Amino acid sequence: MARFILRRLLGLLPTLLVIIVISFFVIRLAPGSPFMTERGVPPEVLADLKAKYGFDQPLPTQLLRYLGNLAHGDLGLSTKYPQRTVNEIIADGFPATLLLGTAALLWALLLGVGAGIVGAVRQNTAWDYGFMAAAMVGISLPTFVLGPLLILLFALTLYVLPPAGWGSLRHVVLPALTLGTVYAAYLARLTRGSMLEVVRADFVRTARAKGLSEPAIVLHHMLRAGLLPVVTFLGPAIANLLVGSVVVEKIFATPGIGPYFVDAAFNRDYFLVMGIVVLDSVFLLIMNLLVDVAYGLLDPRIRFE
Amino acid sequence: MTRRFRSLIWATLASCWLLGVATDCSRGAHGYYGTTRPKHGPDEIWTNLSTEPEYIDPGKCSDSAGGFVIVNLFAGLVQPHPVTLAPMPDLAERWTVSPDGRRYEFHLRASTWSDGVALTAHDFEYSWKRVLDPATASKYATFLYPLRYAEMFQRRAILVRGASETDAPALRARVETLSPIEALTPAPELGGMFVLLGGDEEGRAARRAQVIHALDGLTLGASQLHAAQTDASVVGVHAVSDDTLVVELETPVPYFLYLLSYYTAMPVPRHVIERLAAAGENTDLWTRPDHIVTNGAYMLHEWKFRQYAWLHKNPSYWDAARVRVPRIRLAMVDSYNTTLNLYEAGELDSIGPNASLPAEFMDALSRYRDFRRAPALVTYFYWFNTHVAPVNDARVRRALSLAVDRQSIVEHITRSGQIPTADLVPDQVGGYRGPHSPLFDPEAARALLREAGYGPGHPFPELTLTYNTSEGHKQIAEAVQQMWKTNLGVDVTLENQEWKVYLKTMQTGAFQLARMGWVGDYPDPNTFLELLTAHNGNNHSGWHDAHYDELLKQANASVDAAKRMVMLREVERYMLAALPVLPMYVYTRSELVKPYLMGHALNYENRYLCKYWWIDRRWYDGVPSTRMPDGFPPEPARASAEERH
Amino acid sequence: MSDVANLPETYLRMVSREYMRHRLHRLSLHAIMSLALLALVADFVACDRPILLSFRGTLYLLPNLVDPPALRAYDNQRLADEMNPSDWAVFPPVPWGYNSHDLEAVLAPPSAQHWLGTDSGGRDVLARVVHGSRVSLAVGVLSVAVLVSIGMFIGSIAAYFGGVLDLLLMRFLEIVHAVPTILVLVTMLALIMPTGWHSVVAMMVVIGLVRWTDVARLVRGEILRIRTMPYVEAARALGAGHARILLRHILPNALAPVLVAATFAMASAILLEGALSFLGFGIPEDMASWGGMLNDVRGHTGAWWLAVFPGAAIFFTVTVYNLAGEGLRDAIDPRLRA
Repeated sequence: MARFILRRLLGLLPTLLVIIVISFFVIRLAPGSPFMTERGVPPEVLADLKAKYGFDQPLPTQLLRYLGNLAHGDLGLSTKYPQRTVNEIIADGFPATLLLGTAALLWALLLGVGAGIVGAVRQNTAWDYGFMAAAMVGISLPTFVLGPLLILLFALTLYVLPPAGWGSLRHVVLPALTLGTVYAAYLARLTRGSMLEVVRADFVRTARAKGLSEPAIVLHHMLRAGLLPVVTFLGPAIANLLVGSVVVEKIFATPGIGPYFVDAAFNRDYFLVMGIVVLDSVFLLIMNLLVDVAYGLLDPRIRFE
Repeated sequence: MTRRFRSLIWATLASCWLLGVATDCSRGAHGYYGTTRPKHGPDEIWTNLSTEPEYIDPGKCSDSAGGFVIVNLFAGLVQPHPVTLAPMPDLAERWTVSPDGRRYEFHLRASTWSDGVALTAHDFEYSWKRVLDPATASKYATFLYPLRYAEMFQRRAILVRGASETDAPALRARVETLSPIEALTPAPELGGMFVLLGGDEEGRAARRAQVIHALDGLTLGASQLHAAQTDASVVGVHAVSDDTLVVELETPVPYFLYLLSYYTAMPVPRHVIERLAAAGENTDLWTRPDHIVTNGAYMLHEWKFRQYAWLHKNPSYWDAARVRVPRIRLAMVDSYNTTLNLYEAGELDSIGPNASLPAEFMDALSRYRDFRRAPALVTYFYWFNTHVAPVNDARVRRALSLAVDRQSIVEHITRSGQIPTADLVPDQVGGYRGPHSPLFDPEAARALLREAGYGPGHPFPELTLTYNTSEGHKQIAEAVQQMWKTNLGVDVTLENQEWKVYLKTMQTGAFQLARMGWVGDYPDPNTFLELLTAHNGNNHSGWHDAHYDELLKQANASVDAAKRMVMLREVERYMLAALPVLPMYVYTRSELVKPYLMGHALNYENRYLCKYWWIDRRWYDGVPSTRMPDGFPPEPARASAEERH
Repeated sequence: MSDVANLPETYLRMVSREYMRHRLHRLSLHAIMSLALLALVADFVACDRPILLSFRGTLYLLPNLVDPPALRAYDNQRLADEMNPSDWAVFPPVPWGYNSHDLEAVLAPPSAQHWLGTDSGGRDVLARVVHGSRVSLAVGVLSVAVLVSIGMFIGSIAAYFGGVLDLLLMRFLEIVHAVPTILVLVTMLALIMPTGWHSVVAMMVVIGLVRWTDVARLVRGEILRIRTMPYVEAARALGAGHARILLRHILPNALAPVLVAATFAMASAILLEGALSFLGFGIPEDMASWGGMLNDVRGHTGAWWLAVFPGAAIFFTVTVYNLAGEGLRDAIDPRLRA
């Protein structure tokens, strides 16, 4: 298994390289430049600015230089925040995004998997209908509607939680609820669906015939097999949560890295865009790899070659 | 299954109800928006910067968030009055101006940087030349362009000594074999001429070297030429002693002192920057909290990237006695919804200079007692591209302008007390009385369109109006679209573009009509009128009129301020007859300020001067019935510090 | 040769019978069809011109569709004011266009004049909700069509041929999946600078171009399963070519799960359009789109009708598509059949 993981990890490198190269050219294709402002800047100044960031070189040279720096872990300079390196910007914002993402994930797992199990075990009862209807609402309710609703209710009507900002655990609650609810809704439906598939499986019948208690059957037998699709879903979901949500972090003024996805692209902050792309794809690729590994652990039928 | 359906319906209804309840609940008491009891002690004030500044380096800053921090950290030669922005002495105790208005002599008071190092006139000379140094790549260096030869230095013009004006044609011919020329300017005081190269930005450096090589040592007519890139020594700023700074201007600039109160003219600590350079570190980092040294009312205590900053009082500021609040907290929250929520909860004492409230809030917010509003130095207008039919016809442009019901736009769309205007310069700026062009006359508009030859037999072609993607611009554009359709039967296509793309479109002139909001740099009409001069890089109309440029130059040469204002009005009237722009309204600045925050003034430039702030402690115990005086300094008499010879 | 191609047809018929057994599923299908109908006739439901007009001696046929030059400066209200007793008109039930501003009623709550209120530009919310159905339908259909075609093509090729091709295609899929959608969108939209309906098309094609990976995976999985089934072996033994086996024997059987995925993709595309509008780039602002309308709510929390009606429209549409998708999945998955 260690060999499998190692081989896959090595296999990720070319993929990552292609993603970087594509993204590098894609963002450079967009018209406009990072130094363009409403007020005209003398061409001499523009030339100096370009030279400072190496934008005066031909694109392939720039790409090679970028890849070279990247190999040393240097993500370059930001043009929007000229006194910061991209490394610093990401290091500054990542803890907030990580905390928010983890909290949202916990909330999603707790609510989603819990509701899914209840829905499957108590199929076609009021519990089942209630949870699944709530899940339907959750899926169809965008974060930019849910977020403001939660703020209005908890921060400005009940005065129990801060409306936005960062600094204490109380600040995490509302954004995590907003961010996690959609995932919870998906998880609930997914868990219910996959649990229903195993609920009539032979090994569950056997377990039941053996006289095992219902909780033991659910936890030991059904959940293990029923979680497979959940794991598939969780892989990319965790990657997404870890790189942050543009919308939620904007609504709650979370100082994370989520908003850079859009802001950096709009500002043509090339190196920051690339830094975010690199981070994003590394997470995604690794999570996909972990999904495969988890598959092997959860499903005894799969063997690593 | 019906059960499942029913729960769906209930969930929907519940959300609607929640939204309704939450928005109906009344906010705050006694007519104030949210809490009125300070959440912090009287030695702190919390406000909002809205966004992480790009630079807090006076010489490099070009963003408003950075500007806010800088004016509170640094002190320049003059400072603006908090209400009227009239220049008052700051580090310069007094100054003299030569009769021709081209030479200023500033006498500095003794003061130090926050690390105890003495601050002298040499710091100013260094700082200004640093701004102008092309290697600094300052985007706002144009603020110092009134200094003699400043532009030539920043734009790396070639100074050809030994060439006189009579040699100009020969010189031009010689240079043009190597590179296009943008300008050839005589510099009689230096005994030579400046050559400013044009053409492609990419190859300019190489061509400059070629030209210098070709000209240096060349004999032209009777004299031998010496060519070199212009250096800092020719720039018109010199420290003649530690406490005397002499400034020479290219032409008299009536608003020069206003420019000096701007952050670009503030000093930077040479000793810190050079220490970093000597240590081989990136000198850009001198504004980090661990290096920065300031000379203004506050020092930078802590900086949390994109979260908040703390400013602490600077005890070595020369006027420290007037600074009343020891600590200022600057949050960086950019969403206005979030900002409002924080303000309501008392987490912010004011929503900050960069938070713009959406128009939809205005009706409701303006009813609160802590709501304030002031006109801003910004005009909203549409550029006409005067090179493109059909708007290359002045009659068509005037017709389109007269068919816009500006009153209706500010009343129904923007709804923040904006002042409708068909003039470019905001009225009353620096004592200016504008021409007050007619705002709306659809009858005259239709007549003008007929006069331009459009009618049933010759329908007006469809227009395209371009604006950068934004809800506000969109709503205005749609209203204008509707007005032109109703009043003139003219169809308009709306085209919105992302900001950077939009800027490119403006630069390349690939538009018919495009929206613009021009922010004045200083409270003087010139900052708007200059926009339409031929050489101005921000004049996107393509309207170049030598007579207009000449009129403006004459007006600015006038030493008599009152007479100058009258002349400027004629200049604007001349421009409005051709109408390369379609003015719409003058912006207002709306702000929420907690009633306990005193000494906070709204001014034209939206400049926040924390040194005047203080907290009315009565608000800790309840709602006082009277308002205390803010305690602003008296408005300076114009000649108090200035002696004219 | 026993015509196995008939199999999927009866299979589909079986699935549809199973689907229609449930009332909720039936209702959701009807709702989807009604939405499509509404999108089709939006100009007859809400328009600032009459459907039929006799004005000053001229009869105008369908001025709501053809925009006659003589009526350029007129809308319903002005026509009603200036009509002579001999003139007559058939007005649409909602006499407001999706982009006509009633500046006397800006941000007005629901009233007899504007049944669902107006937005900050004085535009009728009902008219915009009605016309918004077009955008959301177009958004869904286009992007799903693109992503399904690409996904099916790549998925089936990878699965059927397997080997190195499969490996390469799956790596390619992984790459496409990892390039951030928003990045591609910003660049593409900045590059083509589309206007009006073009930007709906552009955006949705772009979304289709980056979001096909799930369908490709699904199709690949299905085909890997079907490929080894006896009837495919039989077809191969009978000498059928690759294309024939793939197109006639394998794909039709993989179609049902794709249909399910497509239905869910419709729902998520509609939500994505809303999210993109929220972030400031999406459907051009002078078009009516539910996502764009919801975006307005950020500015006016007091105007609940701006949040509730477009929100309900999105919610309803997404829900019916999700329900339909679920019904379809239940119908094709025999293990879940009670």
